[in-house]
Amino acid sequence: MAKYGMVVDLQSCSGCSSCITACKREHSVPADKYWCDSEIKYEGKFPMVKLEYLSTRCNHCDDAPCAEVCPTGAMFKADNGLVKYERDDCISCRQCVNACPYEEVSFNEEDPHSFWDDNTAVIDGFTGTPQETADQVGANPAYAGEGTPVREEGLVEKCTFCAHRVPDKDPICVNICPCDALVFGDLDDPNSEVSQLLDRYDAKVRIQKGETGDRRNADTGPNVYYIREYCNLDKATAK
Amino acid sequence: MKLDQILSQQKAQENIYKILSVLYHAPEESILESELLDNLIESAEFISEKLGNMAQDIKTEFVSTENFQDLKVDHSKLFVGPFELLAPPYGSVYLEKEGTVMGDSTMNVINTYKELGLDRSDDFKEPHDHIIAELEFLYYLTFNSIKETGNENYKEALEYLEAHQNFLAKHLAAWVSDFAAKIKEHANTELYKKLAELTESFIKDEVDDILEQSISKVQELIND
Amino acid sequence: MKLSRRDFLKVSAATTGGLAVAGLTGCRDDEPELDSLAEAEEIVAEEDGWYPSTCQGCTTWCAIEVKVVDGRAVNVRGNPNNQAHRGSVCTRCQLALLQVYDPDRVTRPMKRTNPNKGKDEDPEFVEISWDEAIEEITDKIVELRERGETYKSAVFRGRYTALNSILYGNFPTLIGTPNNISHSAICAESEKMGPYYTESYWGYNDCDMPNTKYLLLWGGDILASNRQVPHANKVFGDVIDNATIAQVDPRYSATAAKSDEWLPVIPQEDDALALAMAHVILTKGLWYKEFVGDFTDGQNRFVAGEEVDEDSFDENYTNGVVKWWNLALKDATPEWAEDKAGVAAEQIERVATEFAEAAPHAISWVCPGPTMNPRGSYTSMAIHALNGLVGSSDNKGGVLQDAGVPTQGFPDFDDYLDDELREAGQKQVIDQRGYKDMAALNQATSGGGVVTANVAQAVLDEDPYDLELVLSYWNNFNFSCGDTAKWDKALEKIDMLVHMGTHAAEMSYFADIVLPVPHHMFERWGYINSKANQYMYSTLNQPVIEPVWDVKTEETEVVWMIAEKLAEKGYPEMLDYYKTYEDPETGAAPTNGKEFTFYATRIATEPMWNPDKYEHGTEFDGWEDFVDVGVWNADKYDNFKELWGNYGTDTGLFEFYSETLKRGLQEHADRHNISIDEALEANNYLAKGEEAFVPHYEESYRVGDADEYPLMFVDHKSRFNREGRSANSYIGYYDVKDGDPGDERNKDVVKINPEDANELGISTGDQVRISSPTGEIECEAKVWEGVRPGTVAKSFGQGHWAYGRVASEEFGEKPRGGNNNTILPDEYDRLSGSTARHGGHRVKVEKI
Repeated sequence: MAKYGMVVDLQSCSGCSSCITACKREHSVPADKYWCDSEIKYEGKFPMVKLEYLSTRCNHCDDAPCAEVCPTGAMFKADNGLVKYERDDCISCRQCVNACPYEEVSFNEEDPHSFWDDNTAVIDGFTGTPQETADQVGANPAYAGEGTPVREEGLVEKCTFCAHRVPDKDPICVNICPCDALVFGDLDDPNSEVSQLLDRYDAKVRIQKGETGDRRNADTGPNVYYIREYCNLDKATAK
Repeated sequence: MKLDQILSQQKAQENIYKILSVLYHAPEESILESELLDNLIESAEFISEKLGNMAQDIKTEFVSTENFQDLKVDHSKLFVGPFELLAPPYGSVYLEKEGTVMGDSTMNVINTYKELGLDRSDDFKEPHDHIIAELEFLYYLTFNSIKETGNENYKEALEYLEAHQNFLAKHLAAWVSDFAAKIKEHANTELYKKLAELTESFIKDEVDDILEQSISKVQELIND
Repeated sequence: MKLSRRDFLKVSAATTGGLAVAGLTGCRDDEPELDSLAEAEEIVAEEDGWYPSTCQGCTTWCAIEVKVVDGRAVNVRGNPNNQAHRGSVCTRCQLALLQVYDPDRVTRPMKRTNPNKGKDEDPEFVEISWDEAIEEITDKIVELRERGETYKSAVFRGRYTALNSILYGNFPTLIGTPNNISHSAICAESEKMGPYYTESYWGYNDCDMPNTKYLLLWGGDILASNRQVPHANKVFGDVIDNATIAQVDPRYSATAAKSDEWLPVIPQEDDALALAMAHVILTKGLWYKEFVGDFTDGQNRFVAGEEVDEDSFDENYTNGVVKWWNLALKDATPEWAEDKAGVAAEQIERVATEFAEAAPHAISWVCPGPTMNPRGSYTSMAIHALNGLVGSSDNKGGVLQDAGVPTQGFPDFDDYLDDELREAGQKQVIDQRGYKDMAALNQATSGGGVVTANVAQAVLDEDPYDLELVLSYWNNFNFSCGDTAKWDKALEKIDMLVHMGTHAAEMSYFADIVLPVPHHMFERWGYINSKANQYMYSTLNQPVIEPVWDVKTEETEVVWMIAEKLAEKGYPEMLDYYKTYEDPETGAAPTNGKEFTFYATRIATEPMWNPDKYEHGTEFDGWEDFVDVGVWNADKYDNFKELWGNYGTDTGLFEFYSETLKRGLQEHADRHNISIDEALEANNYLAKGEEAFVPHYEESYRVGDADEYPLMFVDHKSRFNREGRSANSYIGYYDVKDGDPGDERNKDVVKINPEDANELGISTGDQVRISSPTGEIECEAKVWEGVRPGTVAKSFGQGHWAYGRVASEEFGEKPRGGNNNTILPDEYDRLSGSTARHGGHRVKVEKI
């Protein structure tokens, strides 16, 4: 059985955020929620400023705290390494939300798509309305609807590693990345690109939200790795 | 039967389809200023005396309507809503087991339109299997079978005629009686009862014959 | 569902006319009257799958593919058949999906009824059919024709496909006006001045990034915006390994963060930097001898402060390196530049040295940032001239031109003009190009280039005349040109403004007629050419979904309808002409606007898809093959050095001393009977004498008093901007806005250095007012280390007051965020006609 994981090549990443938008479109994630996200840090004083942009998502941890605390087994570790959830078994207790040290589990407090229920036009009679557009399109217009088409109120949700695409296709964030900075594959297969990259480069992982470090220091056993440096800037002057 | 007779029958049929589709829109007083109803009568009479009388009744009802508001209210209750429709004007309601809109039968309608290069117009916000659209589709098919026959493109004409026959059998003819029954049961105005009567009678009793005659004539011409 | 009275009677008329039940023969020339149904649009996507088209969210113009499921566009990706971007797309392409399915698109034509125009005037739009709209436009055309004032009409172009050569190209001439105004001069025309006056290339250079050893970027934030975004993103991880990267920009940009060196230059002082780098390269003897040549005796005489005898140097493929030294470089030391540009002398020296040591695989990439300022033309030349010094012009790992695209022109239209129209077409163009103080020297021709933004002042002054009819498409000039208030006033004055776009925009608010148009990526035919990665390509725009609303293609269908209407009114020439656009395979003449669009696309692209007309690049079996693949690629541009000595400049050489520019300036001076010095002065340049023909230093010119407005404003482009059009996106814009360095999610922020913020008592999150002599806007402050003290930076794109429910706080009333153009001045680089949006115009920032 495969053990899926991801390697983020920070040198190749340009911080373009395509992954975030692609994820939202694939899974119909509302505007204010993120299954794929970023952690952006600036260090230093003008002009020697260093930016680090970390493309983040569920780490599909070996010892997933979200799954451990789930009272119904709705959130669970699957055989292929993915941390999955069964929406029908979710009782909305939100213990997983609190347990995740990366804050990668979100909860839909409200109907995620109420935007498209609105039937007012900015110019009455001459411009469309969200509802009319949705009718015309036959679906929620902003979304691909190929992953998890309909988001619901009162459920916890998170990155699925695009379980509906894997293994035939890469997760959508990997697929859209213009920088070829995201690599997905089987960590147990020594010939996979992810394994090869991890052999070649030192890697770090997220220890908790806002902090990265050596994987040995992470209690959770995260499976999203970061290699190389995002920012190489070392010379800047101003007079 | 001679070709010009066949074509004239088809032309009458074309007119009836088109005018019926207009009459299922919300009623407007301007209809009385137009020649629409006279055209309906003339075309219906051409097909049969019975149909002619029904058309005449419709005109009589229109002319004698004192308050158009009553017609509008009746139209809304029957076909538009916002509450439960008394006579839903969509094929799928009658043809689908679940009685829902946008089911398989609707998809079949959409695809049939598509095959003929048509789609629902932007201004028309109802499902594709709405009575107005189906009548208009049949009008379009008739229009083109006349046109192709006139241009001596008999094979094309035959295709239109056969498409017409198929569509009718699968769709409008399959649900028009149930639909008409609901109108007759629930309509408050005579007008809509008469309209239902004419629609059903035309579709169920007359069109088949016209199509049969047209098809055999066109086949004859192809074989010549 | 309500049938309007008019439609009702139309139905009646049809059924009356065609009644004749008895004795019918079948011959008919009428058309079926359809209301609930319509003849379906011919679209490419007959079944679910991926279909090629083109993304025009910026001028990269990527060949892309759209995934269509059940007639709905659900996803996008780069077209893998395109050699330039190789399957890659940036996030703008995804935002196109938000655009085509934007809830606030204009769904049908509308007509203004409120005769008073203004920002505070509700246009009071009412319904108008396409036919009536075209009737009104045509009436106006005829009225001008009858009055002999056809030139008082204009076409304003914004984003376009190559089919613009109809609406923007020949249509204006056919209605008798010289006025086709493109948006080019608010984009980047000044950038072209360098490549043109050194190597006769009026275009945006391609660069061989994969093979370069040094990438010196001037302003261009190539990972985030124009002109090769997906390609740049795709290769940059390797470029970081293979090359040294240096970014010149007052702002810490997305690309600065990925560079080795950042040179946070004082706005508009890039010329000092570039000249000092040239000085270093020459004094250190690092120029590329194979290209530039050498001193006859091999002794380097380039010593700071010392003149050099021209005869002592034997030049190869360049013109005037010694003249340039003597006129502009000998005193331009790194220390001199440090004072001007605010970058340390040692960094200037190091960058120049390493750049030249990488010769000839070194790129000095000129972009709009350093050039779109009042004296930017010479900056563009100075930056581009560095490529001449290191021999990277037309060289491996260097700066390239392109292979061209074999396209076919449309039929000639001169026979369809009369003398009156011909003469009117020769009149002075409305934008005052070629005026003494507006040289607009496109390709060395006085008044050869467009001065987009100046149309506003020209209209207000009625100089050279007033405009009565304007057809304006895919643009929004009172949002996208500096001094938006001036544009508002100018638009008020136009008798009939027809605005054609996908959205009701700020410009629509001043329009008399608004016409909805298709989205170029999903709903229409067309094609466009572009390049990257050493590949020129041509990519098709294809209708992959049925249009969401009642749209017509402005570049062709609207033109066709006007031609038909003109024919009805007794002017058949235009329609006769357009009927000559016969389909290249069937020879059929177009009978309607859709056929016209389709045939025009096929005519223009025929040399690419018709095997009988094959010239070079991708070989196709025929049209179907082209449509399936979606993109034609030229052969790889790697015939390096072929231009050396054949540059097409007046000398044929790479001109440090530009004879080509001298000719252009002379022509402009002669036209106004003045000297070149006087001509330069009229155009707000300080150069005197021979200096004018070489890249040289010009004192910065900034609008605003330094005491009253102590900070310099840096406008920059967001990686989420589909030009100004994505701010109404429901996702993918505000929710990821922190992907623009320094910006914050769901906000429009002005970035200010902590030093300045402390002095002004401003903290992150404060509401602030930014004001300039031109106007004021409000937004939030972000205290950030990534901006140079003394400057503030703000991304363009937000501040719409009429572009939809998401983009505005309250549609038609209150903007969301602030529009940079409201505070930017109506100012120009007059030599190129470009809008001077950069250069650090002065502002003040106050907490409110």
